[in-house]
Amino acid sequence: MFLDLNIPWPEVTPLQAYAHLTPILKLCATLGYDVVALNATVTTTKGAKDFLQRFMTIDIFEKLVLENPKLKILKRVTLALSDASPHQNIAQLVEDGWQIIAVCPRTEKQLQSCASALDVDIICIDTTQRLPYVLRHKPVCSAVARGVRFEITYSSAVTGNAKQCIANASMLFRASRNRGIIVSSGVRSCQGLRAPMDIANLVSLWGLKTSAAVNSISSIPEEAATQGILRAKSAKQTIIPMVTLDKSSELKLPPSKKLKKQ
Amino acid sequence: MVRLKARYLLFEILYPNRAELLGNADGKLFIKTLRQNIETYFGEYGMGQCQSMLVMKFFNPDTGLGIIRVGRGQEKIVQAAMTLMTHMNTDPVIIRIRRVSGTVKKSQEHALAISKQELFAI
Repeated sequence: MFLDLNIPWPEVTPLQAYAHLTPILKLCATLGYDVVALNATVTTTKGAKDFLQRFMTIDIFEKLVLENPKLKILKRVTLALSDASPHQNIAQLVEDGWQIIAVCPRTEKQLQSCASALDVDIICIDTTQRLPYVLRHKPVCSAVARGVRFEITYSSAVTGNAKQCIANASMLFRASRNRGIIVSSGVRSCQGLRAPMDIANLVSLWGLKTSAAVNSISSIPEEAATQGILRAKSAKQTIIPMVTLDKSSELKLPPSKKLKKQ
Repeated sequence: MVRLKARYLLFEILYPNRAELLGNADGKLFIKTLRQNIETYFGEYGMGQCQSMLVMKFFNPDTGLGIIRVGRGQEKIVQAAMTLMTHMNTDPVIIRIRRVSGTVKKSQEHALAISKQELFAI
């Protein structure tokens, strides 16, 4: 199973967004992806709620799901943290119906607090610009041990600044020692999208171990997505059955490892 | 004497802006662009490693499927150069590698299987 957990939801009117996303999702299905997540980038939890309301009221999301029977489409929110942002209410986001929750820290301090305490699924590392800090082994690996994954996007390498993307990616590979890495697209048009195994080859060339490169597009994002969905549909290790990413099987409980709450 | 070993990459050219190919997929332009791309991303060193073995073995302009021969050990470089390809002349393209194989025969069989599968899907 191949997953792409970052297809940005454009900040335009719902109908324009629909027209923008339709060809991208179609191409995802052609290239062999099974699960994609539409990603809304917001700065506050309140912004996320407005975002969701805007798109749910005229059923753009439902329409996209119906039109792509082969794909499982998830809703993901990314909190782009800024310097002055107050403590974010993650539980509120889960209540609002987001399935995967990610954060994008801007400073080393934020990264540390996200890595040590925040209950999120994914921490994004921006690949389009130079990181203002050096990724260190300790915070990164303690986050990975806690069950948080790190994500890089590859589309900037394909369509734009490959140098910066490779620099940030290899820094992350070194800091995390090849553990808990997700590679996703982050495409703004069909142009930047590539087939999953090609991406595995590309990142292995950038310095990720081959096995970790294959996992970074399959099993690790799958774990992140399952964890995100379970957060809303479970309490104290009791889950609502039929929570599965696989469309074909009706009841497939995830392995017990994934059930553990941090 | 050990024989010269190679890898055969079965690739597919996708044109996101075109509805149908109708024999218009351009194999010659593809290999030209690929050489340029290897040089851009891997420099003269990378190109020097690849170029003696880089040969297009087969190309079908109707399906956009083709087989390219690469020296063993350089297939990752060539595959990455294909992945990073965005345009052929001004046409936007997406290259997808369908199989990496050690013999032409197996990649041909795989190409046939893909074409059949796509035919039955219609």
